Amino acid sequence: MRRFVHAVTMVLAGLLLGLGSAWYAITGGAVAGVAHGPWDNNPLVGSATAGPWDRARVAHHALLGLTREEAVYYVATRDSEGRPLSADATYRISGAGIPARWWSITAYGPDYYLIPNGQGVYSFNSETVSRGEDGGFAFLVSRTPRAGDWLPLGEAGRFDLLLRLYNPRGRATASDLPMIERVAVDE
Amino acid sequence: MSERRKGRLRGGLRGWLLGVALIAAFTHLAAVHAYPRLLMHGAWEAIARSADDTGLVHAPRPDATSRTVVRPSPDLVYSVCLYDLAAGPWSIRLEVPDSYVSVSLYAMNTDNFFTVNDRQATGGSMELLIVSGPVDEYEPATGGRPLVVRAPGERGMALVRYFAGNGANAAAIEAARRTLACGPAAFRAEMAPSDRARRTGDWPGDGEDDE
Repeated sequence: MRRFVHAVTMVLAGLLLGLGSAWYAITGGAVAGVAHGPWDNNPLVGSATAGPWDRARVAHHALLGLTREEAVYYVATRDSEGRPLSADATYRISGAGIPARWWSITAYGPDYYLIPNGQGVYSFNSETVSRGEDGGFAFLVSRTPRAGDWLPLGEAGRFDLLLRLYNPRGRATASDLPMIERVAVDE
Repeated sequence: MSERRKGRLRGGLRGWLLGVALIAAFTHLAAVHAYPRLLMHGAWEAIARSADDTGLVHAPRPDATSRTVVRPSPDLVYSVCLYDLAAGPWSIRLEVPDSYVSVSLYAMNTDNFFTVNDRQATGGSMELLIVSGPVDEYEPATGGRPLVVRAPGERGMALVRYFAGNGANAAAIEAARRTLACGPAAFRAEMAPSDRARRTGDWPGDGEDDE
């Protein structure tokens, strides 16, 4: 009887530890990668050269992503000053000359799906965003309604931003990518 | 407690801990290896439920109700073709609109093993032949069109992405999507190009200018 208990507890503890550590390795934090200001990029998205841990993490965070030859993905969970993004604040996203054929910036909830909102606006792209005379752009992201180009966060508690660059032109640097400024803390 | 009994307990504990560590390590590796395949299998099953008999789905433009795959892009219109090479090669053909479109192939372990976009299209269309064997068995007969791609496994997905832009090209995208054809190709390595021409004449809207 003692040996049976010994064997059963050993198997259960091993399974629990193995599954728990795997889940932590796959889901813990964002997809690790290279930081470009507030934007993180994992160059192994979609790549056949990814190891099993990277492949599993990418599948969890961004299933069916494209390899970097076709598209490059940048995730922001912090603003340009390093503070975690909060749906209780208003952010100004601004930039110019993003080196890609076309780009988009999309807000996602903590479940990685689009955030329900009454406006049906989930993103801005290089054709939908308003441009200044210098070709630059800026839009606001918040739960509180804003005038002009506004990406509404609905009732989201947490969110992140995903920047997609399709047919990228060379390797983007931090200065090529949009700024994320916290411009107000909402009531 | 005698020293002999204490020694036996210490040995038992060491064995138990070693067993836990070995089982945990094996379980960890197996789970990490299986996870992307399970997600892909789940996505496959979800897409297959709404696919037609050639494995093709034209998804509506993503919104907050979209739940098939994480992080859908609301700036893209997606069509998906599930391929299965068990019975032979698989063909994909589409007309290219005046905006971004790409066809990307995914293995069941989630690897994006091939992508082609509108800038690489010739004659306003794209045509792929997905095969499981060596590519050079097919290329001599196809003369570079369709583009022959070797898949790493029997099953996988072809994801077609159309850039929705500011919405002004919605009608053009819908028209282009209706030209997307996908399904098993009655293609054999020994076919002569003229035989293949007769075969590809089966594609909707095809037959005059294929070769």
